Amino acid sequence: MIDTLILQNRLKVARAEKKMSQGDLAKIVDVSRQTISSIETNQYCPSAKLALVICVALDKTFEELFYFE
Amino acid sequence: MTSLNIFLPRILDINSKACYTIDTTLNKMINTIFEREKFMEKEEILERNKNSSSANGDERELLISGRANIVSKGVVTVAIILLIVFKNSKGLNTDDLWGIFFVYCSSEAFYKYYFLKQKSILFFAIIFALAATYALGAFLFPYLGIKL
Repeated sequence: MIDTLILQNRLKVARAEKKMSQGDLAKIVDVSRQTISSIETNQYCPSAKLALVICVALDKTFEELFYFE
Repeated sequence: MTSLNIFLPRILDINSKACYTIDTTLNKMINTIFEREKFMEKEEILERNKNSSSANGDERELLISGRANIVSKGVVTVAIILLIVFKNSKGLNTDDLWGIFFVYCSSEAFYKYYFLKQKSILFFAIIFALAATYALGAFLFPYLGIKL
């Protein structure tokens, strides 16, 4: 079995805390709603820039939102 | 900033309390300036991100477009090879198809070399470009009345 490094996130929880929909967050960080959905379901790994912009939008640090599994 | 912390009270050695006040105020001002340089406001980050995102597009869409190009390259290559096999079986000239294929390969290799700067890629780019020139020349010259 090969162990791979996966970047997980708590985006859904953080978004819920802020009472934001995927569309609201997508509009703030200027990406499509599908992109936010893909990040939440770990189908897409965001670039460092997008990840940090999401952190800024949700008032979280990078470590609070993203972690390795 | 550290040197200011050390020397400022000594330079203004009149009253220790006054010195402390001046020193603290000055440090606060310097810190504020440095903090502003280091960190942008949330609104500024989001605003500037919108400007840059609008120019570049959604990054996930760009990634999918890149993957789509790879898939389409594979499909086009298979289609060209099938056409070459078909034309060969019918005894038709296949130089045009080889020309298209090599132009495709050389342009891709040159683009890769431009960004990756690997000599092996440049080598293949030149080989493909020469092959494309030969194949297209062999196809076009008879129509232009040029004999090699």
